[in-house]
Formats: sequence, C-alpha cells, structure tokens
Amino acid sequence: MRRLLAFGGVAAIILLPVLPVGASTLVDVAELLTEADAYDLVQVTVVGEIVGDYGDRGDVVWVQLNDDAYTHQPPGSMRQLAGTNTGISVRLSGISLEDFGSPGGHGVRGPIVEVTGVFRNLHPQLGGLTFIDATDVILVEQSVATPESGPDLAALIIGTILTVGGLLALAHRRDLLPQKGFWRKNVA
Amino acid sequence: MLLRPSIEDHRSIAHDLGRIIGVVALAAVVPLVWAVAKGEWQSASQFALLIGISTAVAAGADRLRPDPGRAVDWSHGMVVAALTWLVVPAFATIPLWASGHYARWIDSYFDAMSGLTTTGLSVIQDLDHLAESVNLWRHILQFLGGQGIVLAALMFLAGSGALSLFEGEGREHRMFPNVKTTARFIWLVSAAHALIGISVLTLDGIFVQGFGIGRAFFHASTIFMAAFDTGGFTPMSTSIAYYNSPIFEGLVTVLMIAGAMSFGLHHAIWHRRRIGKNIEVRTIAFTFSVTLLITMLGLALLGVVDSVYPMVRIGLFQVLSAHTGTGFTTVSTPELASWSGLAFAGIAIAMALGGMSSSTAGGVKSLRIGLAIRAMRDTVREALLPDGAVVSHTYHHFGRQIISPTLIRSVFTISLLYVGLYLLGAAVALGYGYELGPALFESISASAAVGLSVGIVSPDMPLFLQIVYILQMWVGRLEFIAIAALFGFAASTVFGK
Repeated sequence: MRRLLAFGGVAAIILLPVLPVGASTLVDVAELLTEADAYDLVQVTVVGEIVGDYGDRGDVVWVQLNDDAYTHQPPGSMRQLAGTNTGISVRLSGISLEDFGSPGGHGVRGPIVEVTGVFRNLHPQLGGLTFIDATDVILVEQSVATPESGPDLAALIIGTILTVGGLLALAHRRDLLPQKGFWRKNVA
Repeated sequence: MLLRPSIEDHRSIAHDLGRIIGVVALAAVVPLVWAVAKGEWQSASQFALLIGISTAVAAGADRLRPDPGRAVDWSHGMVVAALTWLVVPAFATIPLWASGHYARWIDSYFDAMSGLTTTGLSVIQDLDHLAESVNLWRHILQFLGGQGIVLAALMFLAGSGALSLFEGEGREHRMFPNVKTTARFIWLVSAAHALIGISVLTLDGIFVQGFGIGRAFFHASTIFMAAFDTGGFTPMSTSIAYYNSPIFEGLVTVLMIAGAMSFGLHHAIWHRRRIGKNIEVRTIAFTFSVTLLITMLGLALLGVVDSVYPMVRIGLFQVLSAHTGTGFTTVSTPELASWSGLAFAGIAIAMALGGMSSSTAGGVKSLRIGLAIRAMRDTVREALLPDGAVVSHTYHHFGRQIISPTLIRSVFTISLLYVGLYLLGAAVALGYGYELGPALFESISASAAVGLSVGIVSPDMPLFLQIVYILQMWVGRLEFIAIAALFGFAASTVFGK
C-alpha cells in the first residue's frame, strides 16, 4: 500500500505540469462574437490568420486574428470571394513571434496560428475592449507571400495615351503650347 | 409651361461636370504614386487608366465651354451638383472593381457612392487583404466628398454658377462674400487639420500602437480622412476596435467633432468670435447630451457593461460617431445589433439628427432642429401671452437672424423629407423580411450618411435594396433641392417646348 501511494505521488508530480489546468473550447470567431456573454472569461482556442500589424507595445503585442473563409484558402491560388472578414483582437504577452513572418495583408497570407487564451467580453478594466487574452500560441503555418502579377499593360498603355492626349488638348485650348516649330506643325 | 433647355444649357452643364471629373484625375495621382511605391502594379495600372479616362473626359468637356458672357442659370449649378454625385462614383469604381474585392460592379459603385457621400457603409469583401493604394483611394473618396468635390472645382471656377453649385452640395453658409474665397478657406481649414491630425495619429501609431513608421502613416492618413470627413471607412475590417487604445479613440473623437462642425463655426473660432449663443452649438450640445443619456441608460438596463468606465467609453464614442455621422465603431457588429430598447433608440436618434449644417455630416442637421424647436416655442409663447405682447422671432447664427415664415416652411419641409426618406428605406427592407428595428437603423444610417450597420448591409444583400440605399445616400447628401432641380431639368428636356 505504501509503495502504491509512493508510485501515485511520483506519477502525479511528473504529470501535473502537462495536464491542462482548465479545458479549452475550440471555437470560431463568429461564434465568439455572437455568443460573447456565454464565452466571457472562458478559456478558448481559436485557429486563424494574423492580419494587419503586430502592435508591439513593449510588454504586450496586439494583433487581429481572422477566422473566416480566406483563412482556409490555399495561399497563391486565385482568391475566391467569400464574404466579409471576421476577426478579433488578441493580446499576446511574453510570446515570441519571431518565426511567424509578416502579418497578412495584400500579397501576404499571414501566419496561421492556434491561439489559446481567456476570452474577455467588454473588459471592465480596459474600457470595454473585447479580445482574447492569449496564454499560448502555436504556429500552424508560417506566413506566405502571394505576390501579384505584373502591371496590366493594356490598362497602363490606354491610361497613358488618354492622359497625354487629354493634357495636350487642355494645353492647346489654353494656348499653353509653343506656337512655332514641332508643336505648331504636329500638335496645335 | 415647361421651357425646353437649349443646347447651350446642356453644353454648360457638361462643361462644368467635365471640370469636376478633372478633379478626380488629380486626386487619383496620390494612390497611383502609393501603388508604385508599394509595388502594387495591378492597382497602379488601374489608377493610370482612371487618370487617363478622367483627363480625356475633362478635356473633351472643356471644348464645350459656353460663351463667357452668358449668365449661368441657378438651376444649372444644382443639376451639376446632383449629376456629380451620380457620375463621379462611376469613374471612381475603376480601381475598386478591378481590385477583385467586389462580387458585382454595383457593389463597387455602392462603396464609391458611400465614400463620396461620406456614409461609410461598405460591401467590400476581404478588406484585410486589399491593396493599400485601393484602400487609400476609398478614403480619398471620403475626403473628396466631405470637403466637397464641387468645392475643389470651385477653387478654380468663377462665375455666376458658383453660388448655386456651392448650395447644391448642401452647403448654406458662406463665410466670405465670394464663394471662391469661401472654398479656399474650407480647404485651408482642412489642410491645417490634416497636417496636425495625420502627424499626431502617426506619432500615436509609432509610439503607442507599436506600428512601423510606414504603416503608422498609412493608418493615420486613412483614419484622418474618414474621421475629419465623418466618413467611417477604416483600413481594417474591425473598424476602430482594431486599435485597442483609448488614446487613439480620444484623438479620433476630436477629429470627428471638428468634422461635424460647420465651416462657419471653424471660421468664427479662428477669428476668436464667441459661439456660445449660436443656435447650432446650443442645439447639438443639447441633442448630444440627451442621446448620450438615453444610450447609457439603455446600456445600463441591458446590463451590457456593469461598470462606469467602459460604459462611458463605449457609449460616448458610439453616440458621437452616430451624431457626427461618422460611423466608426469600437464594438463588433453582433454586439451593436444586440443593443435593443433605449440603447438602440439613442443611437438611431443621434444618427437621424446629424451634425451641423455646412459641415461634412449628414442627417436633418442641428440648425433645422434648433429652428424647429424655436418656432414651436414661439408659437406656444404667443398662445400663452396676453394679446398685444410682442414675441421676438430671432435666433443667433453668426449674428442675429430673423425667423421668417419662409425659413420655417423650408425647415419643416426638409426635415419631413428626411423622415420620409428614413421610412422609405425601412419599408423596402421590411418588404424583404427584415425586422423593423434593423430595417430602420440601416435606412437612417444610409440616408443620414452615417455608416453604422447592424448587419443588413452586406455583400449578399438584395440588389433592389442595395439600389435603394445608393439612392438614399445620394439624396441624403444633397439634401433634396439639387435632386429636385435635376428631375425638373430632365422633365423640361423631355416635355418642354
């Protein structure tokens, strides 16, 4: 019996740090925002894309985490329109973002991360902010550059011709062009 | 008998319209440079195309210049102003539509109209991955619309048509006898605010938000244009909630107030004149206090927040955003949609009342509210006082003014037309099965150029409802008179002799 208790005690000491303190609920951002009261102060896990900027304020970093149809579209492919964005603020403290790459934006599919933290709905001490106070962030996929193709040559050429032509016509109308030489013969 | 407009009338209108389209070409140079600097070549090509088409149209219209000695009719200016807000968004859609962020062309027209009328409602998809130059263009449209694209043209335009163009944009008070000088003053005020506003917001972006210099400047420029012109577009999908900062919200608040002030009031403050007696100042202070009180009481009753600081911060910002017609939000759309009862009423009333006349704000406007209250008060006093008692029918608005029956008739007519416009959009939404509350909220938001939404405005909204909202934004921005002039002109062209 004494041996059994000793074994149990040792096992508990070893396993305690790896067991979760509170169960975390995997949830999407849309549900968090529509059921905000129900999830207030609940530990949640959200998988999404970091977009915009890393708001590095020294002790904490603020980011926007989007969890919408665009998060799950493969980078580099022809983007399919699938509605508006759905995002939420995340406050990260003491979490390194070194390997994450650039946040999402034009030409960049931002890092896909799994954020675990406490959901705060209209936080009273922070003036009513709604956000996830992250305790853990796992990088699922680094950010990927999705550079756009070169210029639209047809648009560029037509635009340039019309601009030059329009400006010459306006200048001619106001007698701003030289009245002799090449201009007189060919343009005016 | 209707007189058919002559060919000279049409030439004159086309000429002025062409000149205003020339302003679009000038404005598009800014996002073109931005696109080149950021290597956004697709967008750069589209801005080059926009500049080319606008320049060519402006040059073509310039050839229609009417005889300088010919007097320009008052209605011409009104017709040009009304057409401007229909035609310019069509040109502005070129880079928006080509960006690939809109499912239908009408969606990009909706956003362009929303931008120019400084409404702020949007049906753009995946905003968070939009090219910076195109995002900047959306905000420049708000700046152009708020400052008055017609005003921009007026800076280079003289003549008897200038005054009616000025009034056609929904502006009433001239600070100077000359409209051109007034236009220059308005742009001077705007430039001064831009310099200070963008600088301060950029510094906040760098030192408080922790953004890089380039991104801080981008956020500052876009938010400045949207705040000062009471537009409501933001570069990110979560609106002002993106910034998570009371300092940032405070700075934006100052800009929203400055934007909702009439340029006459800016002029008075610059010249250190007393404004305490001004009927608009008193009215807006009163209506803002009442709507704030209603909203906060509503939030308390709903139990949305249970402590004072968040209630004041959220309530103050949302009511101010609604009253100034800006449309920024610090709470999510589902959160805003969940506000019912007094909180809903407070925000909806604030939106419907609007800002000051001759400002970038929409809605009924505080001058009309103040005059209506004054007229009702005078009527009651006349009824209660003994026969022979004299009741003064005056008010303070940049000096002592007389309340004439014509003025009161005009005040009540325009105010009733706004109420009718609010109800019209709500009725159409009700027809599509939306509930009364959201239907009314969205209709007021579109008509009063606010931009707050509880979810009806979205990329998959019904097409006809979308067209109704576009028309509401157009009519609401121009305050009816210019629209009536346009319909009159069209009727004369068709049925006149």
